[in-house]
Amino acid sequence: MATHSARSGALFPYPPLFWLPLLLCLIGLVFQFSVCIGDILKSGATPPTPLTAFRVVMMQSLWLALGLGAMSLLARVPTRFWQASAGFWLVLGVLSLLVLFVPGFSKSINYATRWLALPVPGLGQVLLQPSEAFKLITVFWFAWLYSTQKRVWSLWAVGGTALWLLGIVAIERQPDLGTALLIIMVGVGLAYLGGARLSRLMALMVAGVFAVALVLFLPVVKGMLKGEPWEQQRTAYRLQRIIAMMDPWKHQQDVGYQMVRAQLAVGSGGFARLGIGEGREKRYLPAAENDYIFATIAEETGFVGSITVIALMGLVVYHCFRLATQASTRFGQLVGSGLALWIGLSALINIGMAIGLLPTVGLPLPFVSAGGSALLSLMAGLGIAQAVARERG
Amino acid sequence: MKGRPQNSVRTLKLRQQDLARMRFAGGLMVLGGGFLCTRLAQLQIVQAKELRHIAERRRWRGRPLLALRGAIYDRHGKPLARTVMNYHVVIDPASVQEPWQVARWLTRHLGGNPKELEQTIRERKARGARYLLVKRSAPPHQVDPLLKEYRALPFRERPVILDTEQVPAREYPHSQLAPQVVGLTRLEGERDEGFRLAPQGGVEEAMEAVLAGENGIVQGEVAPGGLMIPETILQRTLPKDGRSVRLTLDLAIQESAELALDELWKRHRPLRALALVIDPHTGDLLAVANRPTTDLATRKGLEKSWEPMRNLAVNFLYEPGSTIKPLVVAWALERGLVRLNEPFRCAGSIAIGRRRVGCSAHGGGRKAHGTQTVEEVLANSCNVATAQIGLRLSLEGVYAVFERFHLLGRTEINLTGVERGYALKPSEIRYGREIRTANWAFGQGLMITPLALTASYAILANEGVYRPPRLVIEPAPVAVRPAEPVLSPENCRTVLRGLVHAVEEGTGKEARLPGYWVAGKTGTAQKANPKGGYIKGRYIASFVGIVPADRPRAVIMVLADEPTNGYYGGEVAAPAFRQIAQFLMWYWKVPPNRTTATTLPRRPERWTNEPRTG
Repeated sequence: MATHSARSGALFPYPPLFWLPLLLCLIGLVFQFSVCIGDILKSGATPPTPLTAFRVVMMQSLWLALGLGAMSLLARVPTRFWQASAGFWLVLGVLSLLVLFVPGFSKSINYATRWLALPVPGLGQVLLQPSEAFKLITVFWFAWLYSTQKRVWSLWAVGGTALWLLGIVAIERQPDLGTALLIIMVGVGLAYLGGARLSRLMALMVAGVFAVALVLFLPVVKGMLKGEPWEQQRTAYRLQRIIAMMDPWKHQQDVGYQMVRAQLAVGSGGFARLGIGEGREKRYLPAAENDYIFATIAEETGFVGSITVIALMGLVVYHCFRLATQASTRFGQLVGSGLALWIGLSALINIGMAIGLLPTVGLPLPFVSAGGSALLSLMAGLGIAQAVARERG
Repeated sequence: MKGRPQNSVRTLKLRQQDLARMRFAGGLMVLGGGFLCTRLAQLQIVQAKELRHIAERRRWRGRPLLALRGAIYDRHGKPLARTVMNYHVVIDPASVQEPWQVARWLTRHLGGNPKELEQTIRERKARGARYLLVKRSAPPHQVDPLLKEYRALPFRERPVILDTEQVPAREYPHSQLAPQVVGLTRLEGERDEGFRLAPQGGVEEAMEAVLAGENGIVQGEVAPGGLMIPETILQRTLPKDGRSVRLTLDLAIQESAELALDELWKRHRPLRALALVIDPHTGDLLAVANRPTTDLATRKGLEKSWEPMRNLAVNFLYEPGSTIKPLVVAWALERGLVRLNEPFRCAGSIAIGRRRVGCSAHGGGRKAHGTQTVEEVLANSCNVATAQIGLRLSLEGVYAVFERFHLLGRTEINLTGVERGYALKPSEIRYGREIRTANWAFGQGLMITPLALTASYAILANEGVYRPPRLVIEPAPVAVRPAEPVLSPENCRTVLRGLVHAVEEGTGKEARLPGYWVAGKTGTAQKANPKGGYIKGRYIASFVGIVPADRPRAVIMVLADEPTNGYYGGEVAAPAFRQIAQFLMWYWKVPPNRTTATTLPRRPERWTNEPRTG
């Protein structure tokens, strides 16, 4: 009892879920810095101020400070609040996703409309990515669904889930199939952990497979009807990426380029070569500080470093599950499991992509990749996890 | 969970099913992690060496460091040609998302038609090309703002992948002066081995070894965008810039020669024309102007033929005609075969063997010059008397004139396309040796270059000493040919006096210059037919003059091939000569020393026998 009360009085009652993510964030900052150094040479001209050259790192540090603040704040909010307001957050999340389709509110980069641009004095344009927050909201929603609702077919449950699906469709149309799939996996995974019947889950999976096939092949079929061979269709890039994954070296001139470059970077790392900041291939990686940060880590720290990062990720996931088993409420248990799924699956997919096991999708590596919205959402999620820990027995 | 203390406060009992499912999900993730670790081991341990080699090979580049080609200056150091660094602007068409925007942006900086560029970009993009040369050799003032704008954009927001390749280019501050002497260059090579300027004619080609320089190389790994990663540079050989060349040309004189030829061109529309100015004491070529001509910067007129780049001074063979006579007379005086006051009779024609040679060249019908002195022979340009003098020298003697005055063979000068003057060797001539002697004596039956003839007149102006013509002052040649005395100064003065007569009273009156003594000789040669004989009605009009005759400063030759509106050397070439000579006197501030405006003292010995002081 004594230990318990001492714990609940602490700022973070579950220390591993504070220190491990912080360590990963710091590792991320180090390698984002390394990528920024590489980019100075890449841009061909010296940037006017260090602030422009290292903007990514500076912004990430700010977001990290913000995230830590949010974490300590949310650690003190009772989980009942989240359980009660899950529906509200779902509505808000879907609305923010739909706002992206209103021209003028959103910002497009590389033909993807994923960001809300927010002008902040002194920092320029700060980009917010609602789909990152939607991951957290998904955790809330399914935790609520499987902890509060008694009947599956209630109006709230069906209506909310339909809204959730609308959000996923919105994300897929950004287009961001990777995030959409991850969110589906987190949702379905939580349903599984929440005790959904296996038969229903199987039916859902079959439907999901059909939906994914539809998303992949519909543009191809449309193009074929117009008489274009599928290799040349712009809209068929998803299928092309999957084909390229099978043999990236064959497609290295176009779709397979990123994969080949990433594999070269990872392979250059060797067992424990190079050294931090010494990477060469990082300059050739697209979005090296973000989607492909793992390749940079692998190049600069070798096999030892890569395994370390994977192990740290594994520890975070383990502690999320462990927290889930200790939670005093079912909602808390499901939030913990949801975080584990979210962090674990993101890390698996991101690293799998970087080392050529999965096709190219734009998912960040949790805590490590540059990206404020993702970091803030994760930190908020961990803050709630701390609240769950505070309430445990 | 087993180790948990029993007294813990748990309001929720963990369901067995939940725990099992959590374990299953966790197990799946561990399995995924296992896959990752296996794959990492494959990439970073098994294939590491291979992949690292591939990556290094891809990043490895050898980059040329361009050498600057030396500049070409006139004698006062004014630039005729110099090297600047320009840029080829290239883009990756596949990276263009909005061809119209990109085309408009590029053409705004580089010039050109945006619609055409857009079309090209679309075509190349459709073909999957990754390289498109948007603009060749764009100057820095166009490229710098373009790059500044481009680099100001964040990497991912750039509308196109753009690159520049440094290329050397020639800049011509005086592109219309002496283009045939300067010559052109062509851009050769490619990005990886280094661009260089290959010479095309003129001094550029003749002095290639001095001007060219040598490209250097740097080898290392490159970052995207093309910059070398500093810590990876393994080898660097610095470029050796070419040395500059200082010519003997004087741009002011060159310009006056060009202007004089413009006048001549307007008035007589010849096929081609030449003006040549030589300093007789050094052999320096002060001006070489040619028509037709071009502009080095715009290369106007070079699309169809290379003719405007032809340097007639060395790349043109013609029969000199009467202009050879002073040389024959001078050599006869030198050999003592002709005395100063000896009378030569001209009855209008003379029989040589079975042929007759007449003084019919000027004035239409046959005209007898009567009794003349040597000086008057030159003034009258009398064929009959020259033939007699030639016959005294004999065939070998006249051939010796050609050799001693360096008319035959190739003139050694730093130019390309130098023609070789020629005449049959006396030993090869079996029949008609006498008529050949007479013909040679008044300039028929031999082909020489205008430069050789001008240089031989410089002997007369330089007190009988031959100076080989020179075009390059710096770098100075390793071995200088010694000055070679050909005539005695007295005989030179005698011939000059005759040439002053020729200008004052004879065929070259148009060359007279108020205030100065001018010596000069006209030539009106029929064009030789390559198949033998002469082409009727086609002439080469020429004039070679020395100014001022009392203290020679310059030898000027003007030549017009097939002029219209008259064909005599005195009427076509002499005015151009006078124009150049007048400019020279003003330019060099030569004080006029002749008070009587036009008439010549009967024996102008006062000036000819004064020792040279200046």
